[in-house]
Amino acid sequence: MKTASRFLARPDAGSGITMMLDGAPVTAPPGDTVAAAVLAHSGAAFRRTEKDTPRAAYCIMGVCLRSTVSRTVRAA
Amino acid sequence: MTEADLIIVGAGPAGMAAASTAAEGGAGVLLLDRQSRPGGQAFSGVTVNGDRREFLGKDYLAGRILVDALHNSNIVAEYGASVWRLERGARVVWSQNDVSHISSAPHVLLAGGAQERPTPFPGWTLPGVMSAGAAQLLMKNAGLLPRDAVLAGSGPLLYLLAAQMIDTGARPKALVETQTRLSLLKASRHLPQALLAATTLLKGLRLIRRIRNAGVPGFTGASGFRVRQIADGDLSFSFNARGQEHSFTTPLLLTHQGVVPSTHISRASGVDHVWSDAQSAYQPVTDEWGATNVPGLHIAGDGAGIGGAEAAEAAGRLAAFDILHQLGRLSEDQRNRSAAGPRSALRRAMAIRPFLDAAYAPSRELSEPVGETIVCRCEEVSADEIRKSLIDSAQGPRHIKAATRAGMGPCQGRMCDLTVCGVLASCGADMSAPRARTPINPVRLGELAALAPSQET
Amino acid sequence: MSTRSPDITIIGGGVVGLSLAVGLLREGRSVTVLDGPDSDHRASQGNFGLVWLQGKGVDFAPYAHLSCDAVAAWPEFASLIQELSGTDLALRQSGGFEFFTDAAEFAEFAAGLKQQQSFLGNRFSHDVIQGDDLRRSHPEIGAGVVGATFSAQDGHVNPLRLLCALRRSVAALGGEIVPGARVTHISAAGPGFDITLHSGERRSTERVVLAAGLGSASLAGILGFQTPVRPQRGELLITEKLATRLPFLSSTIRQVDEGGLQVGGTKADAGYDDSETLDAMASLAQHAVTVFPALRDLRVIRAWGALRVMTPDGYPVYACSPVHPGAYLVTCHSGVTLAPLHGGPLAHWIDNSAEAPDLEAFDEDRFALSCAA
Repeated sequence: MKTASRFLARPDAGSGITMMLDGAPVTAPPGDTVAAAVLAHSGAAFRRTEKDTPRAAYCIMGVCLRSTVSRTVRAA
Repeated sequence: MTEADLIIVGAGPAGMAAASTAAEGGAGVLLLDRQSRPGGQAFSGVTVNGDRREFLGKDYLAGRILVDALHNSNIVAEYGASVWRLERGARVVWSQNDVSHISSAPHVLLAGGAQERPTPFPGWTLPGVMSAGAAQLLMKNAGLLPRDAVLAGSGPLLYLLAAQMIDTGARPKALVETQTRLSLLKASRHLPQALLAATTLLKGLRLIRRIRNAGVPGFTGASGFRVRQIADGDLSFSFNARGQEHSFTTPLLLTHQGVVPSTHISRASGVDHVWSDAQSAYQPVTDEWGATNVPGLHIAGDGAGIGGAEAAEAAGRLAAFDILHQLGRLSEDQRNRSAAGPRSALRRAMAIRPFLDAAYAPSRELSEPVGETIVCRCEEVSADEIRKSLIDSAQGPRHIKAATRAGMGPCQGRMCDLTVCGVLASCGADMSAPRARTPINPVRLGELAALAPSQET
Repeated sequence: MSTRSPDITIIGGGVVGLSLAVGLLREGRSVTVLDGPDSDHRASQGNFGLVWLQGKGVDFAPYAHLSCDAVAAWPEFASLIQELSGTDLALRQSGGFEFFTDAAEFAEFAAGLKQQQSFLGNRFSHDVIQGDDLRRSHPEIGAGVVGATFSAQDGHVNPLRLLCALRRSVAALGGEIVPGARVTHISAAGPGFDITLHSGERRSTERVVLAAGLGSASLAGILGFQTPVRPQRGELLITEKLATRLPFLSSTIRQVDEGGLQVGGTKADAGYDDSETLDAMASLAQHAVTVFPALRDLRVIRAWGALRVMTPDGYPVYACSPVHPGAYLVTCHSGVTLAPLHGGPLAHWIDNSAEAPDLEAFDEDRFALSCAA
């Protein structure tokens, strides 16, 4: 089941780069980090831990090293 | 190998100001930053936001002046450059696009800034609980506005974030603060000094008034934070305040407990650190120019002790003047005269700190968690497990780490060192600054292997 | 304090000292372990966790036998400790490789194993495998590997959990562990000894065992021992966790049971400096990707240095003080492999009972002889 984003829809939503997230196409503006693009579309967990607890992005600044996705999306 | 007079790690306010000051003084500067653009956390994305995100405020947009000053032929700036080790003899090892480089210079300035203090309470690892700083970065860099968010914890950042959310139509559902009337009362003895920073104080009061006028439900002296997942990914956040239990349903809980110096790199580089009671954090020991016990190594900005962007900018300039002096480009007298302006700016900016540190001191409950609350997010170690290992005759941070694995995950203790320290302190155990090792940031085996001596030919 | 003085005080709360404590407690002795401050060097917190036989005692038969006995005793020792402590040690004795990228080193090591084999006879089995043969059975092994040796007897444990479990076992058996106890002086007091701590506290004991690793150096002379121990730095890397299991165990690359990969095996004389160095980090990484190229993209999250405790010839010392009866020196660098021995037969040796193993070859008088020669 899809979990709604925990953020408001962006005014510029719908234009930009299209990528696949959990099998569905999503659009993100160029320059977005992957983490931001995912958070804009889904409030679901990014992963499950070894103890099987759900986790999503937390700090966004590379401190917890679990919320940064290092590839930046660029326009083709 | 790139050669320079000075390598600066971090292109936030301290690093940018130091870079332009040193470059204007004739020094060759290599400026390294992990982000894809200059600005640090304070001015993150300032080069591309232009006027399109006015809600971020005048102070934020002023960061462009610092960025513009980087256009100097003496400065080579590398972005997406993650420093993962300092070598003795001032060699800096950094990674960019999966390739590691070694650069050397007689002087290195660490301007790595701050990180948010961890805020452990039951449920803080759930999706939907994020740090307030994270939400601000998403606003700055991606234009993502929190939806029906509850803000919880303490510190001026919560006010700034709440006001920015109100201005953009993303009004917070509630502002739940842990500081008590008593802490404010205790802090008030620092108010006379804080008046030196009257503009900052007034800005803060204006923010608070804006939040109140917007009708955001507010609580102070809150305790007993706990959050659990309910249907549809929503969270139920409960706490005690005004003598009763309150509960909010929200998709996004943004927590904050102030910021602390990022000391991972300075601890791994042999710099002496002390515990600051006022800021409840470890700080590197520096002199009035930011020089450390490690020859050739200065630290400026929040990484040396929290002061905020304006203080960081001033400290960056002071360090640059000292380095220019050591490089023989400024006499002692010239250095001291140049320092007068930044030094009084620093004094002004720091004047409000004792008040802020006391008024928004971290809540004891969040600093010394108990029970099942997760302390180490990477290895999922609970407060109980830390306490139990103390009973098994562990003594200090190293013992705790070996016995519980707290601090052994990818973040290498950034998210739990202070909490472990708080738990240790609450049990009367040794709380010396834990040792940090390199790599400061994870690096691929193949990338590391390429640095082996036999590969250099 | 009205505590009765213990039969035996062990100075050193690492794997060696705690193993000795377990053995002595099981023999019914009352034991106190004095553990130093958190900041001590502590080889027990930085080691690789091998339970290893290959290459042990290639030119010293007594050590080959000692190691062989210890490796064989590990399963029983592990279940004892697991039962006492409720902690899983993750002991896996499923066989291990030594990989070589240099033909001369490979030949030399294989010759050493032949010698070890001659000492141990059918108690030891090993294979010498050429690179191409190795890649036929293990296609993931890189082309830079010229050969490997393998012994089905080799294995590993989780060394940090072993340390923790030993501590719990000592407590479960009624032993006392005193944390933060730095010993500054020991003096013979009629029958028995007086021990002075840095805090000023004094403790008396009937017998004393010095098992403080590098910390033994400053106390050995007081008790009449002569063995000079010196530090030898080893450096290690640990990677992020891997969801799949590594298809082999080697003395330089092993997957810890939590999932991360450890790479180690450097040796350097750097005094008491336990820093990690860029050269060692890079050469360890190069070794790992040469042996197993698919590891290239795995990220290293931490490197560290730790100090091995080395005697002049690298072999253990088990010595009774010639000057002060009742004082013993136990020092070695393979404290994990030898733990079952320290936690078992060595108690009989300290008790000088009929079952005591013959450890004469490990007395420190061997250094006096070699100096004279």
